[in-house]
Amino acid sequence: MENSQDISGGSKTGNENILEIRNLTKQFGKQGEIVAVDSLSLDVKKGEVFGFVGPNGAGKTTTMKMLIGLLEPTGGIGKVAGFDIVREIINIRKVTGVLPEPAGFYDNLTARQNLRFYAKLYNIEAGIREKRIVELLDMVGLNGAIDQKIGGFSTGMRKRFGLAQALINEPEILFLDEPTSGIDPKGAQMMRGLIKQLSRENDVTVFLSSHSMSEVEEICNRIAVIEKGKLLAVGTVEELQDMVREKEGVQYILEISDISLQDAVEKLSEIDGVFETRIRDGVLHVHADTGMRFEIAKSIKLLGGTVSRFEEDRMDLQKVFLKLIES
Amino acid sequence: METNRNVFVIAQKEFADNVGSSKFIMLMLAFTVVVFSKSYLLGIQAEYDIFSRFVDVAQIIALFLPFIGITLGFDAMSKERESGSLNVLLTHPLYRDTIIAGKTLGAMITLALVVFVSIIAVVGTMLVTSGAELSSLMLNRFLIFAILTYLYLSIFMAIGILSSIVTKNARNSLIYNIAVWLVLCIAFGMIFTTTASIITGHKPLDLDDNDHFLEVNADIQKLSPGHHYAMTVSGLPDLSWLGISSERPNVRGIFDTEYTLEQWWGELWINVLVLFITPVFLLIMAFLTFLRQDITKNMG
Repeated sequence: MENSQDISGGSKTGNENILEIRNLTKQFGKQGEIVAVDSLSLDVKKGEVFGFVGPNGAGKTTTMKMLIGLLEPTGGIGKVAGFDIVREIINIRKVTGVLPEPAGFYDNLTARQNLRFYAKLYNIEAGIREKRIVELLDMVGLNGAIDQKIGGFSTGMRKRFGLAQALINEPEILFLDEPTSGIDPKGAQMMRGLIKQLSRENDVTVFLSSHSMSEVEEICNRIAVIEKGKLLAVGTVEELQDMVREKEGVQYILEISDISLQDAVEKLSEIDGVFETRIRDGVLHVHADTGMRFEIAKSIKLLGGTVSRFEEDRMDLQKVFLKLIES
Repeated sequence: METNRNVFVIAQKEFADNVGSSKFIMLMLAFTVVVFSKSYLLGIQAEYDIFSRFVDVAQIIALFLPFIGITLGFDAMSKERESGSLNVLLTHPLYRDTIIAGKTLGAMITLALVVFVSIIAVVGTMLVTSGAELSSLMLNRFLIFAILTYLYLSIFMAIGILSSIVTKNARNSLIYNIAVWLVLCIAFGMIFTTTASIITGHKPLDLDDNDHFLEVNADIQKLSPGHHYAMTVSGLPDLSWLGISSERPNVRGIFDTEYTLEQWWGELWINVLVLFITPVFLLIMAFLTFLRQDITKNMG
């Protein structure tokens, strides 16, 4: 009871959370010596595409397994769509769709027969069931293979079929574990398009675990970075970039004229808050604290130089991720 | 209620998979040809008393039909685990016991079909070739024979299911099951006679002062499901190779019409009970093992 109050307390902020976890912990081993997930707390809002990233063994899959009731947490609490992740597993599975990794299907059955079997587990009425099967396979671009055996499907087709399988019960929240791993760039692009479409048009919340930073950057509204079971950061791509900028500083790129680049390097090195200045390909690369833009421009002007280009080298998510892990 | 419904959904799929699988069809076909040939030969030689030599058919069933039971069980869970389909199945609203119960039920229904088809093939062939008529008395005995055969084969199906849970993959499971089948069905007679001879120091073919040897021999024999099946259907203590036994019940099995069914039950009820309890015990073990297993470790 106390646990439930803690979680609903989190909801009172006005955001409609579909997933909430507090201090979620999973330990393995006889004495719990292996801590796979360490006091993880997260909220996922309804309708967002939430990326869950981390290096191998960071605890992503273990967390996901706990959220869908395949593993019981050692500590902490969690709710998915309002259902407790320990006591209401079956209710959670009724409102969630999951594409695990690896995912296997019944190779001796056709795509239609496979989906029919999964649909029967939800007691979906026959007429609705058959219609939905056709719609889903059409949506994932497998309408031409509806009566083909899954055993003959390519990896990309299997992934897309897996997505259709996860949607058979019209879930409120979709858990996707590495949805594009092992498929070619075209297939991966199609998969990403489908995920975006689901979020945009069907209001499905997506909880996505991935190694591909470009993928996460492209499709996720917010991202959580996890390492060694601990949450390192959570936010939008911009928020994560800001976090790293605050900690690590910024890389500025300057094109200047009227003075020598070496003079500029020497001058900038004297400024507090400028960590490093280098010349590369005829331009200056200045590593400095955030908010040093004005100081740098002023120093160049005082030297008699003219700044023709002054921009910040924005870090992509890959760099942000690596910086977060390193720090 | 919903759990029960999903047990049937899984059982239905399992049944369809079994009867549609090429390995099952091949085995069933091979077995039917053997049984048909044997029944045909017995039928044309029997001259209206088709049941007097039914022990020959029972021996084929006792020795070879367990392999069909094994075929139904050996990859029940390991196949799902290896292919990754268990990962996906577990994400749907199912408890683990629903999965194992559905798979077991599907295999049991398939086994019932196997027994039904086999008995119909045997009896039909024998009746047609001998020209004998089937009385209601014999029909009852055939029904009991079918139930006994079903219980006997269930033991091997349950061993198969248990093995599919505890072994790493379907191939290992099949190898272990073939070993179990060879020991329990084909060579058990030879094994228990040898064991009894080693324990007592008595040569099997030495008929002098062999009471202790025969006693030990009879005790070891009880470890085999084949013994209990053989006793109930033929009144013989063993149908496998090279077995020796002193145990001789008065009732010569279910088709001994000199005795009533009550008399048959009175003498052989313990064997029937063992045939009933053994598969139940093995299935309970399979359920408990599956429920305790970390089946998600291959996931991610």
